[in-house]
Amino acid sequence: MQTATVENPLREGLRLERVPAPCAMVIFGASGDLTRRKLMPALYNLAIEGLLPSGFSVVGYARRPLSNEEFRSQMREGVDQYSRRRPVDPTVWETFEQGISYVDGDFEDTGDFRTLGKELERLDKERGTSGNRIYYLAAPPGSYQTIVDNIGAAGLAGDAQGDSWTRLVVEKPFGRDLSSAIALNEHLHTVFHEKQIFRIDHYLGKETVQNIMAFRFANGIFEPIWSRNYIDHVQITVAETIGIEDRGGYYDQAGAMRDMVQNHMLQLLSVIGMEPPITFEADAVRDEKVKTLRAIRPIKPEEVENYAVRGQYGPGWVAGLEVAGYRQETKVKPDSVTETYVAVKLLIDNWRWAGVPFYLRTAKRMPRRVTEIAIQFKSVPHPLFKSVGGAPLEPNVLTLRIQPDEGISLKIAAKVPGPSLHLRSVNMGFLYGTSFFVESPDAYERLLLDCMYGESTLFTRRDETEAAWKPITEILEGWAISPPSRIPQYDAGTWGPPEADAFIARDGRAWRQP
Amino acid sequence: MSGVDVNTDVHWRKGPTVDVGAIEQELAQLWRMPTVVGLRDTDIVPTRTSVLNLVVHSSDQSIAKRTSTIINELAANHPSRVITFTSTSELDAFDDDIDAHVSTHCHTTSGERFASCYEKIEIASPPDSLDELPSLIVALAIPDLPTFVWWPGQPPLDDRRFRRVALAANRLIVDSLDFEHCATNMQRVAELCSDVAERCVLSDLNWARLTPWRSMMSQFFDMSDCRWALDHVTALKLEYGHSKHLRLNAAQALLFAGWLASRLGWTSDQQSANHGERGICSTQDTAGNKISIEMVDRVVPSHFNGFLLGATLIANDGQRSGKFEVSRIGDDLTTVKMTATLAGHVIAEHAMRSAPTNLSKLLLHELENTMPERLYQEALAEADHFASIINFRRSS
Repeated sequence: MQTATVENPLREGLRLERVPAPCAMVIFGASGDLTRRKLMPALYNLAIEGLLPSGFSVVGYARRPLSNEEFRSQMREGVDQYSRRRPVDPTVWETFEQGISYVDGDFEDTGDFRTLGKELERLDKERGTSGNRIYYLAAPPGSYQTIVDNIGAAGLAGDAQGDSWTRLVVEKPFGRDLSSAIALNEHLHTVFHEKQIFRIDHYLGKETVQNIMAFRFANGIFEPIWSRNYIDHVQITVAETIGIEDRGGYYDQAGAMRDMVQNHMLQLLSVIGMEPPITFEADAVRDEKVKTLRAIRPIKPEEVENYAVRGQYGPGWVAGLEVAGYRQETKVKPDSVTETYVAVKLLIDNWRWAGVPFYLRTAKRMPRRVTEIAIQFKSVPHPLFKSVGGAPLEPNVLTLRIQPDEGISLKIAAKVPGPSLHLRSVNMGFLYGTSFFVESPDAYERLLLDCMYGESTLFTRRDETEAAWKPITEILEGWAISPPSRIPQYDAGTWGPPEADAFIARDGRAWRQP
Repeated sequence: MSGVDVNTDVHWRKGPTVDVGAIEQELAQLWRMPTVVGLRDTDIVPTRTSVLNLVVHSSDQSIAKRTSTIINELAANHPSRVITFTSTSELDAFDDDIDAHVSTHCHTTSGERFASCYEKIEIASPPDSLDELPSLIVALAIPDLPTFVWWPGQPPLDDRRFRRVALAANRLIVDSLDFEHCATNMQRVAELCSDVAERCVLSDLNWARLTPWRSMMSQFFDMSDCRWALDHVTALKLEYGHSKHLRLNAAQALLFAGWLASRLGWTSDQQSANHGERGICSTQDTAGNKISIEMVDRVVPSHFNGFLLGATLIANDGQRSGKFEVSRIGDDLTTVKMTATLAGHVIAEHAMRSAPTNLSKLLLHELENTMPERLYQEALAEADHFASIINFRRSS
């Protein structure tokens, strides 16, 4: 056996069948918060677990003039503060930081991109990165097009050198509406091929979101009831207790619809609603997700009130702390009508889901932090039993909890012990944390590693992004046509404005209080 | 709020035999008691999920004490029925009264709304209970769930009855780090492995400890520039820890060498035993070239006794030379440095945190797996071979 010509024989049976090829990751906007809080801690965590390839290098690119040492020191502070593997191991950091360098450059200056090119050539030569590059757009979205243009102009975009590869990671928000998303996609395609573009949605990197697919497609008993024949409606809730923190400038422009619904929540909807893919390969999975998104019933501007409701938090109390209202937050206009609460009803017009509403609800300053998908089944056709207190018996609800307490629970009816035949609902629960010990990696760790492998299943494809923007844009346009005289208010620490309760009550249903 | 542990009241059964029916009845009663819901005044909901049976045999009280904490950690993460057998010299034989103790335990971590609960049956048994043990394991285990038997310390590998214990389990977990004569026992483990292969998977926690080492050594050869070296290894040097006050244990070094030999097709060379120099022997690669193997011990604190500290692979094909080294460094030996050198130039070097995996994590890994480990079995066969030709058998 001549091992030089075959796969590494020592890899057999190991957790990782392979490690990614050596590469350099260029982070545009490296002086920003995302790099310090998320990217560098995630990369360090991968390094400490030995999951990064030898010679892996990071090049920070930003306008701020910094030496390599200063940049490394800033990144070290970020890792010290935000890594899940603290305290930082000095020896691991020492070898990891050998691969970190910094280029101070302007996003508009092609000359600076040539300097970046020289730095990448140095890394190829000295650290063996072999022309493999990841460009990570952690800069403000307004600069995406300029950066991409200059990557192309400096000749840094292609898969030019033999087996080497170049990939582009694009952070959300991916456009502001459908037309800007299409424009951005077309612009990216002037420089990069679709297979090189990795649109990141960190929700897809969460273990529990991936578990939804495992739950649906690895358990034969659920598929037969996963349709309009048995399901009454679906509620997807992403509730946050936090406010907008220091993101007032961004959030007041975006709002909950763009910040959460267009990306994270529609991803959850598509995973719940998709047909079984033919394989678990990237395009097969994404094909099915796109079909689901495309089947969402169009919303006419004049009908928006029937499909969406919004709200904004006022002052209140969350977990025993008094908090300011949205309009009192830093960098928020005092008369802002930006929504911090949004509830949407979407209908998926296909054979599986016809007539089953998907209610999506997300908000800031809710009483409890929770992300869950609740699938409410239809009631029994003819009630035989009385429930405790005479109230109608609750229907079965299957709840997929994403965070916290990741797990699955099923609400079922059971007889109350005693001489009379009274029933009440009980929850039968399963917690992932109580069955699997392995600590879940951070979503960014999983996604960065996938990107290095070139594995794009958990990234959003062009058509997926555009299909997700379509219903959102329709609602935003409807809202734009008839701006509210007042935006419904809710006290911080409550489950949203009364208008939202009325919105779902019109359908004879009620919001869950998870 | 920090984590909360809620344990139920203790129930004891004492009698001439283990009354399986009575134990089941006591357990059912416990689950109905409000004490299980000692969490009742909180909004924490107890959950009972059974995924496996975990049987732990402790040959004395000191081992039982050591395993007790680990069992709690394991059971909190893999909700189970835990059955412990602890040998006690106070009981002379199984016809004396047997103590059986049943309990339920609920654990919740900070901020979580659900508590995971498990049940435990503790049985104090006479020192020689190998005849009764298999039948009790089968009778007390929850049906239709996998049964794992963990046997810390030195298992009675030379006792034929021990095979019946293995056959009562889906997986038998031993730890060659605990073996008193590791070289001799490697052979017995290999025989047992083969004997029970149809019904039970045998695993060695020491093999699991080598996973990061295998991964790190493999990583060098993911680089295509280095792949040639695997066909031209000339020497393998392994360094392992030895604490002055403890018995020499080279099981990890043997298994690591066995793994390389089995993966790379090294063939045994019975003539290669070198009884003159301690820890040195040789083998042959697929082309018949000699590979020198050296296993040396280094003085370490007691908690590193028997642990692999360094592995260096040296290769030369006449035109190219390479050295691939993984070694524990630092005062506390918890950081590992990897260095690849080609023709005298360092081409890759990085360090990572790699403290020895604690026992509960190793066991958790074992509990997640019921598949036979072909790689382990092949490595074990080669390790057994090295143990037979290298001359530390007398001291280890």
